Amino acid sequence: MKSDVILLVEDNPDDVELTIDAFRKNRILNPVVVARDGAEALDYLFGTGLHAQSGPQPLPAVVILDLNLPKVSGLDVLARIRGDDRTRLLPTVVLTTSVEEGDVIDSYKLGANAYVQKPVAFEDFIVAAGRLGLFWLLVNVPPPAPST
Amino acid sequence: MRRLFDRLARAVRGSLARKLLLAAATVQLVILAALLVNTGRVFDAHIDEHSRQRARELDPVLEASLAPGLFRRDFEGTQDLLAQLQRESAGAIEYLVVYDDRDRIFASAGTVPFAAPGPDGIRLTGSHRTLELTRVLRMGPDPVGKLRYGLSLASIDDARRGVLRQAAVIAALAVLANLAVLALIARWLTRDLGRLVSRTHAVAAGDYDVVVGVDGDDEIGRLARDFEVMSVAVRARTEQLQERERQILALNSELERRVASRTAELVAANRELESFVSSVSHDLRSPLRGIDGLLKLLDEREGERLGEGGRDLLRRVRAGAQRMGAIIADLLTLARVSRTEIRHDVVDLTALATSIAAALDESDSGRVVQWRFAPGLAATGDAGLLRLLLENLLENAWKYTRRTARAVIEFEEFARRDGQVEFLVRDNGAGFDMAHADLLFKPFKRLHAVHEFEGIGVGLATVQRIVERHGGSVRAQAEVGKGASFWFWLPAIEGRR
Repeated sequence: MKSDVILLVEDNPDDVELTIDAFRKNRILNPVVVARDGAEALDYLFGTGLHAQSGPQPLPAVVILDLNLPKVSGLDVLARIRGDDRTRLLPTVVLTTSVEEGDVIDSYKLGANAYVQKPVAFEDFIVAAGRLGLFWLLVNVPPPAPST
Repeated sequence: MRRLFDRLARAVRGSLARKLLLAAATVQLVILAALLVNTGRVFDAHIDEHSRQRARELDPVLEASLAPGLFRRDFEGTQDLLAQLQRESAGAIEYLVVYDDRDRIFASAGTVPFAAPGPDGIRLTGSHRTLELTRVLRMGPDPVGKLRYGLSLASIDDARRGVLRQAAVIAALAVLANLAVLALIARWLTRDLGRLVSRTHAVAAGDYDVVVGVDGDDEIGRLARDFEVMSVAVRARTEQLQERERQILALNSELERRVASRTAELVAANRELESFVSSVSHDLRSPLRGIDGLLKLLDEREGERLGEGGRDLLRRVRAGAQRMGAIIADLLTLARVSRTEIRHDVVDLTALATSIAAALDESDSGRVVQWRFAPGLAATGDAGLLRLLLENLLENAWKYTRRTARAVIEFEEFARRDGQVEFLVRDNGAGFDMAHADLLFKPFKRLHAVHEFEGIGVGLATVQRIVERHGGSVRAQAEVGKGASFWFWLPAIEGRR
């Protein structure tokens, strides 16, 4: 099962608002599901916790992941995504404020598809978020859905 | 002879006793030889005198008995007389020759050496010497002829030989006896010296509990006692030194321990500072992005209601937020420069500068700047940091030549020394007043108002940090309106000085 949903894992409501606004300004009209922390993101992907009743949701088209998250950190979420057969190939992009070299290296080591830094200036942010969405939703050919 | 001398020299080398013996034997031999020679000389003189005395006794007898026969020309009588005289002398007279007044041989006896009558003298015949004498024979006052005869010195020679032989034997015995005594003395002397030598080795090897065991008041005894005193002193001094060394080692290890713990503290503090800087910048950037972005949304959604004054305020708040974002980014860069592990690559600075210049040209196509980069500039260093260094310097030059009609920006090698190269970046831009040069490399100190030239004043601090992290230094020279020059030292490429 596969959807055109964008899973945005972001705890800062301002960033959520700005990111969605940036998508809309770039005519990216895909539904956006927001997870407020890493645990929520994992529940959504694997049908646990809040989503236990409804079962696993269809996999999103792309996961946009902040690193600095409460409860389960972004890097842990990434590790879980890459560690599970169902989500191993799921396009996952790190979008974060951190410019720490260590974070960049760790993200790629764990199998991130891209690492994008959030610029402070909103215009730059719109450009970055727009390019990100356009590439992963339109340009990129996603992996075939698991046959199960 | 030479080989013998070499052998002797080898035998003598390294042994005091042998040297002593050799010297003593030599001296004694010389003295004995002189003695022997003198003895022979005295003996000869004595014999000579003795023989002449004998001749003086014989002369009148011979003259008296031979002259008449010669005068009468009695050949046979003279001949018989000569033979009788020789015989009766029992070998003392070896030969006799009588000459007439014209020096012709008249008669002779014995084996006469072939010679004309000459002056008296010693002649060597066969194995022995002969004293030959010539006398004029007279009858009354008139000479009638000459007598030449030889007195044998054979028995005297034998005696002389015997005496010399005995003297030589005695001399040899004396030398041997002397050598024996000397050898004993030398052995006794060098035994003590040998003991001293072995004790010296012991002391040199670190065994200071040494008793030489040489008694006596002679020089060696005194030397031995002095040696013992000295080795005690050496021991005391050595122990002092060892104690000092122990103290120094203890101090050293204490110092090392303290340095290590201080270093660990510093490393920990540094790490804390790093994580503080990174988290602060991260934490500051998120709300800043919120402020900027939400103000933008506010402007978009509610701009109509705010009016032009309100929108201008919004823009100014956003400009402030963006400037703050730039400051945080620069701060993060500065912090990164300070803690990055420096790599040592060979960096092509000309290529680096060219690519930076191309990017700057592209960023503002309205500007024409003449870039003059010397070819083949290179240094050893961290490629990333050196790019940052050149970016800062060239962007500065680019920025401050904005109002210059014909902007020229140069980059060249300036000097070389001790494996380092000094580079120069020069522009003909706005320059600055050297009175404020001390503020140049301090973070957030600016020499120009923001409305003149944008920037936050971290660029040159970053430049200085990068150069210092490569073990170099940076300096600047400028004049208002004439441009600025920046010199910086970097490690040269190894093998190229």
